[in-house]
Amino acid sequence: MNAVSRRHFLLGAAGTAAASAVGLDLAWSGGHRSPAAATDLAPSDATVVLCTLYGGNDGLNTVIPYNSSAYQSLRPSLAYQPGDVIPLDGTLALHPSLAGFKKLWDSGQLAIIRGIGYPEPQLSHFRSMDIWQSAVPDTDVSTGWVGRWMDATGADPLRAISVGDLLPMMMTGERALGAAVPVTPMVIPGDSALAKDFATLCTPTGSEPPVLAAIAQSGSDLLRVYATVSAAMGKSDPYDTTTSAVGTFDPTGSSSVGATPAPSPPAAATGAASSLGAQFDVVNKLITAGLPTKVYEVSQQTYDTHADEKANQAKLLAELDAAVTTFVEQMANDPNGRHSVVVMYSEFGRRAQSNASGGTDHGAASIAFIAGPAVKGGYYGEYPDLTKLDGNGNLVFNTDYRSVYATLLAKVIGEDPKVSLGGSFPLLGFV
Amino acid sequence: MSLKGEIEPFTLSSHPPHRRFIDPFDDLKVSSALSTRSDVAHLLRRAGFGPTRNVLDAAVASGFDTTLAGLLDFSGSDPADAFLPPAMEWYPADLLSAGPGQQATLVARREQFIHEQQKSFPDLVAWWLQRMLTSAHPLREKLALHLHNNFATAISKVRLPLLMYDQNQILRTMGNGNFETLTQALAKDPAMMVWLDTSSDKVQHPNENFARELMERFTMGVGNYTQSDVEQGARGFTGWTIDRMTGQYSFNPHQFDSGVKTYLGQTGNFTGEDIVHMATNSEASHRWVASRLWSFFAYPVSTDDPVVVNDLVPLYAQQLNLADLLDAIFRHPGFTSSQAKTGLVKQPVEWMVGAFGALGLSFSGSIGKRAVGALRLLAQVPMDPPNVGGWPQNQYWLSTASSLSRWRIAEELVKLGDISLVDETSSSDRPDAVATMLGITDGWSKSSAAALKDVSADPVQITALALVSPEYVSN
Repeated sequence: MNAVSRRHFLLGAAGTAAASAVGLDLAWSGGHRSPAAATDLAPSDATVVLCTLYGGNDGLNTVIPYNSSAYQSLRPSLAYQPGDVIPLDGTLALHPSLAGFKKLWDSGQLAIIRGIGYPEPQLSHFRSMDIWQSAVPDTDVSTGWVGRWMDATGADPLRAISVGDLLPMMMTGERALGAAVPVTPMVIPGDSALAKDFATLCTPTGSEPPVLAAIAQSGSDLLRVYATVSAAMGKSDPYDTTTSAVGTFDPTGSSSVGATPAPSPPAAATGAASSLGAQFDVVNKLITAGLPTKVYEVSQQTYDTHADEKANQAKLLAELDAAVTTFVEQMANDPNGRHSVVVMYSEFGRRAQSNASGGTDHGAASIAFIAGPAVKGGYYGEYPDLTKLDGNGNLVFNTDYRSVYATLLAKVIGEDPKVSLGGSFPLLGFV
Repeated sequence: MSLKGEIEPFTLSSHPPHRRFIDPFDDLKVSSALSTRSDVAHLLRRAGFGPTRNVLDAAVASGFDTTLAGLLDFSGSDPADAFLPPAMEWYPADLLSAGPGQQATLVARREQFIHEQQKSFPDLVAWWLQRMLTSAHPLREKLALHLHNNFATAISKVRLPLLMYDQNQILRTMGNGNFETLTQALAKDPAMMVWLDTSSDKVQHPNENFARELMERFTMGVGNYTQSDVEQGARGFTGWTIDRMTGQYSFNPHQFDSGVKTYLGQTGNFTGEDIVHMATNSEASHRWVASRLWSFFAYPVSTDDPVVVNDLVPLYAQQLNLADLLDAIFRHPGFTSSQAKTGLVKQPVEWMVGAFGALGLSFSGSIGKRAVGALRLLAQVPMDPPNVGGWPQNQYWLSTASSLSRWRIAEELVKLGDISLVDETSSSDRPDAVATMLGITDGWSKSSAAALKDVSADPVQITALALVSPEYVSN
């Protein structure tokens, strides 16, 4: 599938348009899950935080069968030796960068889903990430599993927030769209009078072509999200611009974003470019403030380690370990965060056998981590048999990835999984 | 998305079809003139970066066909050449090898060199933006932007700005020729070879990265090849490497897998060049190239859209010539349909360059670097796409975060630019004046008109809001 067809246009949701048009008066006022502006939201305080590891993380070198002779012989120069890893038991060990995850494991707050994947694995980053984010493995669809949940149960963009500049496919529905909240503070230009004019400008008329309607809708959604998020981030008057960030084109602004636009790290499908810790920090603030959001997304890139894998993966996993460990600790101590669940997944694992560049090519089945104060730690699914690889030399899955989504929908989001997934999938016991 | 019911059937012939807006009846001349203005403005937006008022007036006077012929002609001098790129270098010889025990120092010195080189990256991007803004051949730059998106390569992994500049020149100088020739050149382009690990593709364990993306993202699209084709193709590129001293492509026969390969249904003792030849000459590639080009210049379509299959592929398949394909796209009745005119969101680069033109700004000097920073907020820095898939279209650019960044940047640009046309107009006429300034020919919606009227007393605010209006943010 190409990138053009998968993001074809969505008409703005009429219901959201109405709410957004008056978004200026809907700044949510704080407190525990009593959002006057979002009455369509489930009352439960449980929250899903999806952490997308773009590029295809090497599951085999993340949760490592360190005593397996098959593992050692598949990866002569890439295998970790027993003395280098963090053992979980006599069979499996964590990557040396994951010391914080070991503590979560020991306190029962880390679940490891083994052998996760889907039938007929796709080795394209884009196709496989679409499969993960859409929850539809066999046909090409343009909606994501979170987006379809919003379509069915309420289109308020605040119900699903991705931290970063772009909205991932998973939060795109037929009508509903989640919100993208930048890592940097949200500051809108001008005063409330100008914001009202912007709201007028961005009110869909109902008769414009779909592209123009979608542009208008994004502006309306911005005002709705801005009013709530800026309040949650501690700004008493969202239209007080005296604390504005330095302007992008202000030639005197030494901290201007325009001054030193350093190259970003490479990515393998898409996702936010800022540090994972900074993204989790935004989620922490929004959850702590009790925002009526059920699903958050953060992302990290890029795990596409075709060459020089050891150094690259170690750096990425160390960042993941620090960010998630800190976040889970914060959530455990927050009344609004106690039931939050972090889900770490990637579009595929990597080839069992290493290549000649000190790396691995695209693979199939892998592992997923689930962490949180209320998570039931332990193993779920079976570790794939390294002596029974598929025709491409990849690990074979035994746990359907949609079981994770079904479990999140049923146990955390509080919805019949069918509204998003179409069919039924066995629930897992991690919550 | 078919065009049924909207336009008359279109067939390719040696004679260009008559354009719909050329109306022989006198009583329709007024609407025809308006329609010409709308069509020409649309052409200049899509085949360039949004015309200034004077350019649009001149193009309307000379008509659609003459304007198109001028856009397609890349010959002649270009005043944009006077604006030079920053100084950039390949690794000096003393950073390429180390004596015994000096390896660690060498790595550190090389990192320092890369760090110094990367300081020129914002200047390099600003250089390209300035070319987009000022080139006498805006379609050449627009086509280069499309091809950059198709063969997406990023400084984030390539690291040396010089390599990105060299690749950019390939896109510019070879973009309107034969697609296979272009792909062959890009396959051996050092930036590409670093980006997709071709230079570490060795006979014992081929690296699949380039072989896969060659088919998936560059020439054919997913679903038209198998994993076996990826593996067999990768064998063809074994031995391809970068000469350390010169930084250019070189072939190492000792690392080449000279065995028989089966690729896309053909069997032979294939080289990398053979692999590129077979990929670019496949039927899937014809549909891929035509649909990608149509999607970029007209509106998003799939590879099996009737416009692609019936109208574009038969012509393109003859010569694989991109100039011919562009000509067919711009002359196609579907190009000036309402579906096309309202079918795209401006990419941030298009929005930024268009705004600079309308406001009389330049990317030379410090403001150019700041524009690159602003583009990072908008998630589109040329030469630094997020991944090998490049930038998607339309909804991708419409997140709430992007909407906020666009608005903030518009407010600041207006304060830097020349808005005398709006300033010197009475409040009541300012919505029309700002439409003229931005090249908006088809009027404001009810919502936009109400908002602009409300801020019309303030020439800065009316211009800023117009820059983020649905009419201007669409392409």
